[in-house]
Amino acid sequence: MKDNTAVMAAYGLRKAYGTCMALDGVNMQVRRGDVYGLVGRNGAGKTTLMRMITGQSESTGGEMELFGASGKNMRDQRSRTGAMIEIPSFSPFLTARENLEYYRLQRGIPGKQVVDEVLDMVDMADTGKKKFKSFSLGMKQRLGLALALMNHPDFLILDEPINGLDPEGVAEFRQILRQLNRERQTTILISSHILTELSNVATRYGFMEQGKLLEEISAEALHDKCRTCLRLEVDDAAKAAAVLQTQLGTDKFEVLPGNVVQLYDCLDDPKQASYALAGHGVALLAMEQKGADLEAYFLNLIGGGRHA
Amino acid sequence: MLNYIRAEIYKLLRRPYTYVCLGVMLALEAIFASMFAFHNAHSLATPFGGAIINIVDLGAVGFCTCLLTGDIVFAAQYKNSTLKNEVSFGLSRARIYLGKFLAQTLLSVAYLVVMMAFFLGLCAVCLPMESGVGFYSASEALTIVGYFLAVGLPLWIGGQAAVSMCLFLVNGEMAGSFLYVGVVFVLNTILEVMGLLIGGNAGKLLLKAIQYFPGPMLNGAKSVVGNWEYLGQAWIVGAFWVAVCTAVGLYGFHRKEIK
Repeated sequence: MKDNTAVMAAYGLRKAYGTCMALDGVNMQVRRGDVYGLVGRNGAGKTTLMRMITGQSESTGGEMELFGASGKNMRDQRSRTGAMIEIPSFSPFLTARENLEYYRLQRGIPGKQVVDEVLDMVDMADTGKKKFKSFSLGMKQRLGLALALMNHPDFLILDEPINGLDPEGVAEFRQILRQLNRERQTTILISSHILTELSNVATRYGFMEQGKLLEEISAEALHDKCRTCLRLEVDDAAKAAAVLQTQLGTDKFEVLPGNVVQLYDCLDDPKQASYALAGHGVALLAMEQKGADLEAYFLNLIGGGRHA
Repeated sequence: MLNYIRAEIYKLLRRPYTYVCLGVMLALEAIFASMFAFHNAHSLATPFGGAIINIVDLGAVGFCTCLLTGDIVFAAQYKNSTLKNEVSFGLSRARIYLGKFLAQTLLSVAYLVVMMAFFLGLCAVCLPMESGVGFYSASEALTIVGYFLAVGLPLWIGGQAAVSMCLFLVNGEMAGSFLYVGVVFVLNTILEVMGLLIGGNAGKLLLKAIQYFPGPMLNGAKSVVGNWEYLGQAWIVGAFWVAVCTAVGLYGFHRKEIK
């Protein structure tokens, strides 16, 4: 189903390198105003997907739309995007200002002051005559972000943008993203291995594994799924729900298949729940406190084990 | 396209390599001119015309300079991974390819003008203008050199197109340079040998084909000074090389994954 509010959409997108499927039928939508966090292990297909959105790589199947345009028309829409894919790359013999001025001229962006504005924004205004080849990874990341922001993009595509940034830089970066999303309604697609950081900015997530998009979920829904609860395995879930409502006066629970009730109340005093259930003829077969953060959720989704 | 070329010129004017290359070539010219002046001070009396006529024997240098200007403008795009910044903004690959080729051609014409002006100026200042016995007069030499440059210009631009094609098609400047040398300097020799070995009509065809390579065409200009038909052929051959190399380069670049 095509969605008019989608800034970017993929329908059965595939990319094969020989016999290796880097992307295998990816269906996803990044809606206007989303900060879409793309989560996946190394080699899951995140960068490949971003490279295809930015035209660096061609798909071998499926369809993709950018601002509603597909095929060759997508190219024109790319001027509305800003991208930082993998390690930022610039001419090594130019300074930060010269590199940005080169791209400003090339892209026909009016006003020389744009360069200073974006350099200020990423705290790179005082790098002077230092050439790009002498930059630290953090400085390169900042300059990459400056380039991505120079044309005031409607859609920002960032691949591992906080790699190499110091804690202060990470906080500033987060602030910039929030500001762009809030004040300019910039839609952002961002991938990161630092899931705690991603969870600070993302409003929607896509989980990738082995070239497939396993799940798309909003931050609210993920929060609900991950929040701490008491998992009660009972002999009669309906009866247990009634007991919880009448005896404990709570409706903060979910009844799941298999006679499982997830209770989001009484977390400080689980005895209350067990006494109430036992006292009203509900057999409590098992009880455990559970909860997850983004990392645990992701690991659980892909079957655990290795890190993102 | 104009924006793209402006940006390329902005970049190459800030690249030390641009000035180092020009400086080295001007220094070599200065050494070359001063050799005549040095000899004149001792025994020989090479006049202005006798010195500048040597330009016609240095045509191959123009094809080597193509490699330098190509390298200056292309600026190791694959090694530095900078093409992704251009493609991801939605610039068409045709604009990127043609923009770089045109910037490279402008740079090479600028180099040619500066180098010729410098060498001719230096010879005019250091050497006597009146012709000696066995030497071309200044006006005769200027006519020959002028004709040679008029023939050479389209062929050198053809060389630029070949460099552009090689640099865009092959990852790595070294490999690209080898491919260029192969296409412009070696391929015609291979065809010549094949033509001689095969013989017959096919062999004749191959031998005929090598006349339309930039190098042999430029060498042939020395013996036909003032021949307008040959000059026209040179421009057609130059245009043919530009068209073919650009078409092949563009086709390859369109299919290339940018990393």
